[in-house]
Amino acid sequence: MAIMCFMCVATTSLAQNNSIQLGFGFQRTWVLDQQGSPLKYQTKEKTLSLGYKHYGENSKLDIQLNGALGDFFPTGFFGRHLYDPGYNEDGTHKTDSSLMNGKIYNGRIKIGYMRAVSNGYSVIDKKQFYGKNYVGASLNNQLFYTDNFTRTGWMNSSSFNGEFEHRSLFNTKHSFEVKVSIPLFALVSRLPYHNSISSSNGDSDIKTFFKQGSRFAWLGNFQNIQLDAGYQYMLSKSFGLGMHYFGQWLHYTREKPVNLFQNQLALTASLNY
Amino acid sequence: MIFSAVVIFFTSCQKALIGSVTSNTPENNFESMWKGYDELYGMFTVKHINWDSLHDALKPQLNKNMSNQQLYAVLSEMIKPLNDIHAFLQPTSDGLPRYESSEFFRTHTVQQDFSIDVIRQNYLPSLITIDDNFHYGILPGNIGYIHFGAFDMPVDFYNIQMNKVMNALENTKGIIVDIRNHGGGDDKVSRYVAGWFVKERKLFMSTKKKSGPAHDDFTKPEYWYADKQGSFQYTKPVELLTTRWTASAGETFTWAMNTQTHVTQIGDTTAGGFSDVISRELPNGWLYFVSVGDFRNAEGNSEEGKGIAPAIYAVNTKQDIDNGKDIVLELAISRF
Repeated sequence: MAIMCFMCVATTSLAQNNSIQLGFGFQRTWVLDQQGSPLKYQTKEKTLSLGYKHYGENSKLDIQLNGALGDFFPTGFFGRHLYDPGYNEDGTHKTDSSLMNGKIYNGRIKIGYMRAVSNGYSVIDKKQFYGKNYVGASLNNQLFYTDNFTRTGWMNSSSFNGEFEHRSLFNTKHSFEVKVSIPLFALVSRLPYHNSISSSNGDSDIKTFFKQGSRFAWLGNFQNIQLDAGYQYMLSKSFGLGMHYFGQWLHYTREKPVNLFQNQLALTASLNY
Repeated sequence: MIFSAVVIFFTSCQKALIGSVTSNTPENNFESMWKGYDELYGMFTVKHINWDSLHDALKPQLNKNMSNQQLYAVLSEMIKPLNDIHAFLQPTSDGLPRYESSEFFRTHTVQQDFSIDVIRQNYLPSLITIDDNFHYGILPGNIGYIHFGAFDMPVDFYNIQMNKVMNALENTKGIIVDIRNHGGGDDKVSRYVAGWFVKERKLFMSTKKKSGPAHDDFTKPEYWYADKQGSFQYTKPVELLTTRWTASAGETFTWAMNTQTHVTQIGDTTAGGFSDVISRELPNGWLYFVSVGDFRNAEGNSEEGKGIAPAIYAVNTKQDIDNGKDIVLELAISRF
């Protein structure tokens, strides 16, 4: 009887519901962008995320928005100074200086649809587990913009990804999910070889960036493995708290190679209905 | 304990996944800067520079124990022959000053042939300040005056401000456009502001930029036209005042203005640095700046390192300015 009840709750929880999730967290990014600089840069970012998930009988719709903002500086050169290049009235060099730390702006939006490919139920040591595996695809766009001198890490990628997710529920209150996402095709926008922007026809810098620097890419020259893992504890039927980890590694070769590694950890609150 | 393990794990991960960086040694800094210019500098051909020979001549001066001051001296020697207002070395340590490859700006550190204060005090007390680099007013004799010290704001800013300025100066009998201390900015602004003075659409510049590591790897040329901008065109006489300190976007503005028959350039030859510039870094964190373009005038000629010669030559001396006199401005006023 207990098993039947659990199955009932678990099926309802896993199969037919909507969830809205809000997250606040901390993110650290390392990037070596040889087009901008031989120096490796790193960040200290704060993040805000908003998500919506719809679970159907055998499907899942997932929409995630994520924004991050933080300091951006070369590893080993935090607090580097830029000396005033000007001169005093008497012709001597000015000696005042200012800090050179920049900012990074990072945003992601992902819309994914997945189908359940397998599910299972088990009882181990009187503890009940219910799990589902999903396979699907997603559209992902992420933007990196920095205001440092060398335009390190400027990039936008719009990708079509293959995804795999495992979701499990433990005693109706604890749920855990882990998802891996890999782009199959992408439109990647980077600065041109000369690493600058100008347009002779009056286009804005943003339009020029996308017009002059966008290229079609695929798994062979654009690798971006993204990993999501989340844990949630339901405080009531409709409200839960949890933690979410996101990590990604990115490698792209044009115009010069860029490697990026990012880790994010966030506290989440979710409303289920 | 767990926290330390996590930190060690991610630190190891990022090193493996990001790749190694070039170590900070005098030789690596030298090679990094030499290669940066080799692959990105746009004017080796225009300036007839044998870049390889500089590498061979300077590399023997390196040693692994040299000080930052000694390295600075070698790197400065590397870019000295470029004589380019956009090519300079900007150390970020040891209090070392920026090294200008431009001979003019290395030997002339303070401008002495122009002062906006002299104009305000002795010629135009009602001078209106929009910002430090943008002033306007009406001189005695109903002559308009506009001063640009840079084009460092977005086009939208100039769109709003130029409407205000040009409406105020519309009924003057002529305008003096003063760019004698113009430090540069955005070429889009050059084209936009010049558009208020355009009688006829004219080509004023073609630009191409580096597209690969070879010295002749360039993008296809882009052609820049002076087009009509704003709510009306000012087609009465315009005197454009320039000096050796009129640089970069101030010079592309000069190219655009000079395409119009009612504009006369008065003053000194401009600085001679037209290209877009980017900044790069060395393994020791220092910055260096590289001209990545080959910018040509309407006739297809490069004026890099030469500058744009005025139609009428006139220059203030330091003594003129110290005495509160601006003889170049007086000459321009006398022509109306």
